[in-house]
Amino acid sequence: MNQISATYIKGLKDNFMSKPALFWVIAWPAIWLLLAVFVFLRGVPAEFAALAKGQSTISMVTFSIMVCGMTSLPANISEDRQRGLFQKLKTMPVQPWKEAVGKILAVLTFGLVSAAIIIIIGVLLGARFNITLAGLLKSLGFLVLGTLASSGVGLIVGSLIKSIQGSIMTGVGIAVVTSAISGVFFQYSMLPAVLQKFARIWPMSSTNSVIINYLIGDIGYNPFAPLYLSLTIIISLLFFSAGIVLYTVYCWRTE
Amino acid sequence: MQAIEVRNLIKKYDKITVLDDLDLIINEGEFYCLMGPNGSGKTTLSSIIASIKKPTSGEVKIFGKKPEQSKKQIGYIPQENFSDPNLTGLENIYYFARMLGYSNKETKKIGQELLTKVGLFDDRNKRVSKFSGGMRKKLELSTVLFPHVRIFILDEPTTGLDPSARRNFFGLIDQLKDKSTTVLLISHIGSDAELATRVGLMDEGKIIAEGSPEELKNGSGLKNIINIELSVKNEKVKNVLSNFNKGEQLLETDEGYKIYSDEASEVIPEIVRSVEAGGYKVLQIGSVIPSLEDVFFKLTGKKVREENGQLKEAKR
Repeated sequence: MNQISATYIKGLKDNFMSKPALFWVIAWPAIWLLLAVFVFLRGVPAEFAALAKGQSTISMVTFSIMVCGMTSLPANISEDRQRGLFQKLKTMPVQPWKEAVGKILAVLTFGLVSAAIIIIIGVLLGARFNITLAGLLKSLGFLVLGTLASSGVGLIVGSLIKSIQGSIMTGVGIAVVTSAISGVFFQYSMLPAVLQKFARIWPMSSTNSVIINYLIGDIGYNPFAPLYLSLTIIISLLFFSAGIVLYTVYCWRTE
Repeated sequence: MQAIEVRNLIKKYDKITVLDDLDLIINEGEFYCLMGPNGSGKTTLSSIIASIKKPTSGEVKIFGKKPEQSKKQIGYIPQENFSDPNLTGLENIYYFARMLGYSNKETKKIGQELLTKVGLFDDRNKRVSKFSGGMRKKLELSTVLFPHVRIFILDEPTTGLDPSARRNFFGLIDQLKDKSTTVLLISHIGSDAELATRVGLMDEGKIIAEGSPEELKNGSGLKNIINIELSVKNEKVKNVLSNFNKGEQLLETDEGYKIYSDEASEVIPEIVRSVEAGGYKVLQIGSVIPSLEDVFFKLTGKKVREENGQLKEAKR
């Protein structure tokens, strides 16, 4: 437990001290939420506005979790590699999986803190949710699944891209582009047919759809259909497993 | 007792042989320095000993065991500054203590003790990003001072430090290591190697000479070296100076050249006359005691250290 908690505490401090991480994980989704409320949702009838704001809030929480895993995690990995920390740790009796778990838990916590901040902003701006205890718990479960998927992508990016700036930009690029084309930034119904197909299987957008379904209502398709649900879970776990394997190979391998 | 034993070690990357059938024995309590130019294989060797890399063939033993089984006994400092600049000095030590398996209570006690030892206790709550280069190296040195560590492996630990900070750093090591602690220092700086009880000169994956600094210098046959600082460096000056160099290679320095001579006092006036006759100015000239870098140059014709960012060989 010591190695997990040591890496967790270090990772958490690194994330909260990192200006790019604070911007992309907290400020950027908050700005989008403000834009959604004050620009995009201005014409929405009053009876739907509160739930529409709720939907935007959930989407920004998903985006925040996604960008956290895909940007903060690879930035941490690249920074540790560039500093020679892995060289140092390889000479110590450290178990790589414990170090990886500590890093991922730090990202999860950072993501959850940012999610809480975004939800508070959303509620202050008038967002409303149809909350039931079961729906909330299931949403949290899917949020963790989304974190695993985005952490997997983050581990892949951090393992393959050596420069800190390169890994941050790649992570941000993947998060922003996939969010834009999978309906995290827009309504699912506004997407062209081919992107709707992508949105149903891309773990982050399908997780987003599942949570919206639980806490707001109909998303425009049934994200609980066995095919989509199983693909969401399988692809998330695949990304996570691939990330762990590449992280172990590229960062911890004894050459 | 043998602290480090290396037998028939070969390391190849594709077809390039980095370590070529190398043998090395370092006894417990010894301060051993591996000195050689970049690419000579010294970092690869230390990385294999520290279990960062695996050999292609051959055997490495740490107190009779495989390196992977001896990780607790090794304290390794890489070239880079590995401490986390976002954390304070104390938080950095806590991180390494916890990674080594110390409990919360032990971590707090040891963390404060180690920072006191390296003289950073007063700065313990300062963020490392605010540390000077020397302070950061001291902090990183403290990560090898945990009680169970018996071997320090220091891979060019003073990279980026000025000469004064370098001396302070080695002074601290000398003060902190106890008699049974073994030190393996990797360096390309002659004055660092002078601190060692035994020096191994490395070139092209082999240890080409080994002994105490004095033994190496005496064995090289070098008596005096004339250090010449000139207003310009060019082929013409080199040709003039080569006439005084007894058939040896002329060593180029940042400021001028070095010449090997047995009778420095007689040769110096002649050198000044010849150089000035060629229309060039001698800014400073004097006889110096040969260094380990000079010994290396004498043996290989190569400079250990890159100067002005380039490894230049001033061959006749």
